[in-house]
Amino acid sequence: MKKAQNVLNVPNVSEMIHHIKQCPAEFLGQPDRNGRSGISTEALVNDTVRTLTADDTAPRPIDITAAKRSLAELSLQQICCWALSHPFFRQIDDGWLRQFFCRGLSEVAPLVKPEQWVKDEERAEELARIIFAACGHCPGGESEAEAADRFDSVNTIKRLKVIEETKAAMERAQEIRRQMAEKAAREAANVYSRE
Amino acid sequence: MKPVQGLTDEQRFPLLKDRRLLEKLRQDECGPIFNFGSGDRLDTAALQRVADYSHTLATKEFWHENEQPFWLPDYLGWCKTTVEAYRGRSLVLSENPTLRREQIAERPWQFVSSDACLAEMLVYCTSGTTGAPMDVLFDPVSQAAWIPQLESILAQRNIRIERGPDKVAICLVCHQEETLTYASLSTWLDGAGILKINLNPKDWKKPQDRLTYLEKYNPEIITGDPFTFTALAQLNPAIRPKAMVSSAMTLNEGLRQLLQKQFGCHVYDLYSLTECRMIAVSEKPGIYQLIRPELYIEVLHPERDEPVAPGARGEITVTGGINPFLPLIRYRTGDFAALQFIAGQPCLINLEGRSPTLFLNQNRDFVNHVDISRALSTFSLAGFTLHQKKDLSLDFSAWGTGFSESSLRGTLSELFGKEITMRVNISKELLSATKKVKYSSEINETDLQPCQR
Repeated sequence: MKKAQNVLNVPNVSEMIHHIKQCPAEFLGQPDRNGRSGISTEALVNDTVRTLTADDTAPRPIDITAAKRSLAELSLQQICCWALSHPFFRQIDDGWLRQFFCRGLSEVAPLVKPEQWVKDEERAEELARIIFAACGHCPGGESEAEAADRFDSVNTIKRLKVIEETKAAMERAQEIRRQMAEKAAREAANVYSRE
Repeated sequence: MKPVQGLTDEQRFPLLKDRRLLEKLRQDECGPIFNFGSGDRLDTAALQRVADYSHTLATKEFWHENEQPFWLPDYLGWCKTTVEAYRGRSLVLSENPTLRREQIAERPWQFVSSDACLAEMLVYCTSGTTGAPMDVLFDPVSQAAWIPQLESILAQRNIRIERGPDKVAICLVCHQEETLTYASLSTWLDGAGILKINLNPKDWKKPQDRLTYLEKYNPEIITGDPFTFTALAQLNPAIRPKAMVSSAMTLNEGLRQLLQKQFGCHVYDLYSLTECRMIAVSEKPGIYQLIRPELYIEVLHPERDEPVAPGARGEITVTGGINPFLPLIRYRTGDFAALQFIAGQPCLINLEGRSPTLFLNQNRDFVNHVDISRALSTFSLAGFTLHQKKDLSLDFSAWGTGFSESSLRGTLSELFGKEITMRVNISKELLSATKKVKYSSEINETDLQPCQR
């Protein structure tokens, strides 16, 4: 990761969080995956790429294969289109965009409800840091080590791995086992047919 | 662990203030000697969830041939993040290992989503007709969803279940030595009556009451298994259901036609499992149409976690469902069929593995294998096989420890009679086969005694 040159005027994380949380409702609409209704994520992503590459006439620079992606990922791609409308991204190299849209969001997207990226402060910060990491710049005012450390602290994927090992899951298992023995649970409910 | 009654009627029907029909069904002088209480336990929020689910069924948008359903990546993501047993799983279905019944039976709590509200948790213990007994966890919504699922099937024939507290909507008829019986109501059907009854004369004050009670309430939908329906046809109550729904084992075409003629209604054969309830329905021999777009079916190689060639037979494997207490990813059902798309609808062809198995006692009366499973569940058996020969003698093999041959013989004698010859073989070694309970028999329907009226 390289530290941004002063001339680039890299926004700090707070500025990016603020920008992400201003995401207009149009970018949060239901993605259309089978040509029936909703937002064409494919068109939105390609418009963003054309703007950032300053090539307004490029015929579909990226094929995101919308039909193969989860709705959560398409929604996150739409939110990223808004995030990348920040003027900073027009000043930097655009070689990272294809990788970012095609592979950068697949793992994290299904783990977070789309609206949380723009409503929840921590998720907005995570998204800001995902984008900074993907484009190879540290947020304004942060060293590379600081940026990596702060990204870890909001990283959903890493956080889930930690939770997997926590006591909470065990406690819940014990509670389920206790309730399985209770009368109210064992009366069950109406059965309508034989299995 | 056996079911126990633990609720008041207010808790069983939080939204139903008018329970006069319930009292009438319970107190009717011709009624059975009910031995249990049950409700659907739907509150306002749960009822709304049933309504939302019913709406999704009405649109019935299935996946297309050679495609996976649109909801799959989101569903796998949800499972991965909220279900302990699925932590670290891939978001690509084919990269997920398959799941077997034994894995759930050992640790059902590991399959509960953290989104599930534990206050809503219900437990149902399966009798173990296709495996060892198992506690299945579920909630009132996934259970009550059975009715909209049935309604979506009936709607294709313009059959409608009436709503309101004037009629019995559904009667589950059993024909067993012993089973839970109750009168209940359906909140989803605005207080319509629900019955679960046993045709065994022991459950009634007078055998004749079985006819009088059924005829008096004339249920709109009769559900049961093929054995019960055979007995019901012989009993021949003057009832006119709108439909009959057979499940638990394959309905023979001859019996279907007999029932259709005798009761003058459509007769459906359901393929369903306790682990996920309804899967597919058949109106004609050999073709089971899938019912639920939110339950994805793969047909896999029995030994490897790979799909068989398109249209080939393999093990039916289930992903999805609406039960937050048991979300399934690639659950192997132990049943075999081929998957084919007919007029754009996914169907199971040549479904096998649920053929009825007939057992007779020394008086040549029918013995339901559910009763056998129930009786044997008191022993800690890892598995067993039971075969009855034409001369009614039994071959019984059991795997496990901590029980004596004489106690097993005693239990089987209570069911079949002391004069039945029994060859018993007990082994400590565990089975490696998928199905750890297997029933087989050389008896066929012509060996059955007519049901006493």
